[in-house]
Amino acid sequence: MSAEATSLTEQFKGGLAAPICLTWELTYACNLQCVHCLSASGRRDPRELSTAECMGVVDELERMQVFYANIGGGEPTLRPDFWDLLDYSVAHHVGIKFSTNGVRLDKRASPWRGRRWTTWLRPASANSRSPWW
Amino acid sequence: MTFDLRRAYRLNPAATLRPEPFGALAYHFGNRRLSFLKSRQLVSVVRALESHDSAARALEAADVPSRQWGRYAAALAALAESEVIHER
Repeated sequence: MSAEATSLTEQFKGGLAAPICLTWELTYACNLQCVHCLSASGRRDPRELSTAECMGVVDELERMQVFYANIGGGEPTLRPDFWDLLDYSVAHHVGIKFSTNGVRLDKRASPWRGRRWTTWLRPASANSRSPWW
Repeated sequence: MTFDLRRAYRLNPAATLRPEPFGALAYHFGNRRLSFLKSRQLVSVVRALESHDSAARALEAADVPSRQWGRYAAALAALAESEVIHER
């Protein structure tokens, strides 16, 4: 083990077989207008991926064995297919962490609370104005 | 943490191994810890755990020289601590 272990630093120079995780801005649509928004979100980008295209991305992540994706936006729960995409990702061995403002978390979200494979991040939105999207 | 080579272990179903040039990366989907398996022989040992009635048998199956068992026991202990492997 030691001979190979000592060369680990050298081997890292070639990079890993795939990313450990990646950030995925699923939508730029948002129901808030936070003044501190880093992605200038608000309006949905008309070019955003369809459900089938998103599932294709998940398929590719599964093939690459990417361990998880950090989903942000925009407010990802505004996509009508968001929870289905979450189901699809987990079923295909891609863990999900997602950032949400929490406004739209409802009964559909509750089964996911505290489950393996998913983590929710709920950033403070003290400077948010009223929804307009 | 001590590791009992006489006991049987397996890869945790909540964890996955991804082959890498140096060995493998292990990721646990529950505790979200990432572990490095720094040799291919260690990967062979971890994969062999499931089909052997003790960790010692898995070390033998992977042709690990007995003089290195202490080091491998330490590596397996770290993986058990991270819940990548557990007793069965």
